[in-house]
Amino acid sequence: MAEFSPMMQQYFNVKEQHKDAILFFRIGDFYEMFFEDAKTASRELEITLTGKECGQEERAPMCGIPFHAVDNYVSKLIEKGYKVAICEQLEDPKLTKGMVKRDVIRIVTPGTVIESNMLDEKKNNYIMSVFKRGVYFGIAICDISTGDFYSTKIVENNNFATLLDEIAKFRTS
Amino acid sequence: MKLQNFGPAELIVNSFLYSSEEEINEIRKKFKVYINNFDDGNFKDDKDTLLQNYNLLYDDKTIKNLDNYELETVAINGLLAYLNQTQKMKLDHINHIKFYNLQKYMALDIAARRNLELLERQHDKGKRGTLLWVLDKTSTSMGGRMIRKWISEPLVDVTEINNRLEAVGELKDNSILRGELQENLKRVYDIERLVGKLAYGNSNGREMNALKNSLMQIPNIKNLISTSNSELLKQLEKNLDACEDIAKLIESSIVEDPPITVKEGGVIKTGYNSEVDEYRKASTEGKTWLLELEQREKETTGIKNLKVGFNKVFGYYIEVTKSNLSLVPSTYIRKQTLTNGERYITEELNELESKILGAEEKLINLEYELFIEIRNTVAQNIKRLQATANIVATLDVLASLAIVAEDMNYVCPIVDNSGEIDIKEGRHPVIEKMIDSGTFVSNDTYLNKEEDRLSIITGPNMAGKSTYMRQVALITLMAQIGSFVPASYAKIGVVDKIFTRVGASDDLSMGQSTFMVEMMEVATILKEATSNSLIILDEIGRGTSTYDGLSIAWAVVEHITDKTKCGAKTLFATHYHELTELESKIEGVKNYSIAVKEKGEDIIFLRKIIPGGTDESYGIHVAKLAGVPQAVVKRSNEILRTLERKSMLGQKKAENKKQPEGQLDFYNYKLAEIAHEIDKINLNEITPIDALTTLMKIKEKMQ
Repeated sequence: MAEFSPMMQQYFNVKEQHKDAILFFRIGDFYEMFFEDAKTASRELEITLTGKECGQEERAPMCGIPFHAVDNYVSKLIEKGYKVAICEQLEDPKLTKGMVKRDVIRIVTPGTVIESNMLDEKKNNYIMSVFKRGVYFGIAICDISTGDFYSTKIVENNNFATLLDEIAKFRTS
Repeated sequence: MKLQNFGPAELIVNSFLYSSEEEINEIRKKFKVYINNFDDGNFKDDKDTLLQNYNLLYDDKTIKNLDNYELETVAINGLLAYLNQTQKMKLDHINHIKFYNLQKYMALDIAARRNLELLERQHDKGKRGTLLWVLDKTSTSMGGRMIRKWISEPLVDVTEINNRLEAVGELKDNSILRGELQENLKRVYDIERLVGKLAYGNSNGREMNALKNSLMQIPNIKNLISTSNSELLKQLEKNLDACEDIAKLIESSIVEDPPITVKEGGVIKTGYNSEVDEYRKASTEGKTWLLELEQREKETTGIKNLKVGFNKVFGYYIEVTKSNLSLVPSTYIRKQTLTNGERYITEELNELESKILGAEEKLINLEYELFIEIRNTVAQNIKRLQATANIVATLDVLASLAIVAEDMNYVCPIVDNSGEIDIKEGRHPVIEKMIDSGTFVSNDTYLNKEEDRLSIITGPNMAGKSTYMRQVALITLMAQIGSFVPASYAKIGVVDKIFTRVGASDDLSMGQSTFMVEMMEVATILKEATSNSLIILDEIGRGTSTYDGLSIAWAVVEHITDKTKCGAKTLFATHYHELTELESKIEGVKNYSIAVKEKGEDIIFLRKIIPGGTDESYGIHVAKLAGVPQAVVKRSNEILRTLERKSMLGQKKAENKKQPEGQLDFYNYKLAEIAHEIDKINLNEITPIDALTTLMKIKEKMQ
């Protein structure tokens, strides 16, 4: 079996770390998605699915979006319940010999949105962590667009019902 | 494209919770939320890092020792780890963590939040027609978010509530102060989210100006409330930091109308940095400078025909003709010899040259550097800016409540720990706003922890029972938010929880039968309600057969009124007028009904709650109102009369008062037996499934 192209190998290394997110892989003026990510993104974003040479016989499924439109596409995917990992070129290609260094600089998730076009200005956007031990719960809640951060625990009776009530309280809608 | 259907948008859970399938499924079913099964290694119990890096607050006290906050610590560390791994940068705006105790707030379960339509309407998820819609007159986004939080978290501490009420009262009474405060608030942008962008290093010049323009309103706001008498307003005024230094820094450094990008220059104001000024001058006024230099050199050297020129090889030079070479000062450096003269450069000319030539590029770079420097300086003050934002938001919410109180003619409730709810001429805050003004029929309410614990409200359907009960719950909740209330007088002894069992439920669409949902909600209420709670029960037992329903309703009333088991204040609407008998059997039960006016065969619902029960359900009248054909209505009346003559219900009326206590005699023997069985059920222990099974057995017996 033929080797994957060096760029594809770099892609796999990054993708390996971010399996649960759709990886936006920056190549020049575009963010490109490959394989399963490409299939998902092309379906959800209604963009053309094409292919890219990757050193194999078959071309890798691929789709791409121009970098300046990234906010729009990211928010669409978040809205549909996906996470998006943004992988940037960390070096200037003009000054680099060989492969440009790339890495993920931020993962956008439904609870960690800061782009104002995705936020309702009169609503908080909360992310909540729940730690269960025995029948007790520790809770932490944050809105990273404002920095609000709260925490409490549930150690009373009927703990799970109380947990549901707390989740309901921090609804954004 | 907003994330309105998520919420909280995302959950991070440890593997133990994630593997508790029943619980996770329940969460998924109730909330449209992204759930992460986050590696357990992230949920550390490291207290030191938290204590070092964050300002940990419990209400107003700072936490010095985390020993009693172990569960919180682990959850916080988990969340911070997740933020770290996704954001991949230090988030300076997340700097203080507020611990809260669930007992600090009125408990509202999901059903109550939904039924009372606090933030969204049940059917269309909209804001119109909610309590938020009535109370939100905020001027800023920050206030808009805070008023949601206040509505979601009514207080139980009497002092805290009264502090808010006092502040609202002062703003309500002083219309000039209120108006001017609002004018100033309207010019304040979203400082909280501007600060968030600052922390992310994303702010551009326009956002810096938005921050500055917001801060410039603060001295006015501080001044406006400086003569306040209310404790809360005084305290807010005292702590309000106008951040004038930050406003001044931005004002002095950033142009009025900066571009969106920060990397293309045009951001830094002239006069802020001499280097920028020179670069800018250099690119525009380069020629003037050279003329100035030429003039100066002519004067100092005395060479009248000295001139400054430029060529591509040597750049700028000073040219002196042969006849004047003797006058050339020693500071001139010779560059080029011509047939009729010499060309020189000087240090000054050199500097000027590099300024002019590289000016544009250097200007852009320097402006960017300076902008980052200014942004970083402002970012060092994030905590101060956040504290200011918080106070502005609080003032905005208080002003909003004052505006609503004034516009809607609300009264300041007396809030205490008396355990009484005494409302005179109460109105439903939402409905009175939706219908023509003045047409809403007000109603009194009296509940306490002794003789008036449970009101049984009978009356025809559609006569306003549900509206009335929601109104009592909403008035109580509003008072505990710190809002004035729609009534002519209100005394509200704080309640710890409000429960509602009202109308149909959204869960219907998920395959549970109405009755099952209803019983699950009743089960929760019976388990959780205390003597300090307020319970609203609307037509419980309607989802099953008459006898089942009546029996359950009866047993529920008995349980709730039992002080050893519950003793909560309760409004209980029912169309089982048999339940009115309970007034004479159980201490603390009072009968009320909806007044109707009969006009021959017709009736008019007056929507007025009056003491005393009713023994007619008016169902047939409702049928008539709804347009059921005359013949059917007439036939219904005939059947009803026949039934009444024959029925056990008729017997009951004649006999029940003579029966000894404790003997359930309102039906035949079989029914009494069933009632006894229901009585045996310990509702504290029975699961919803068992409840259903028991009910099935009971139904079998009926056949």
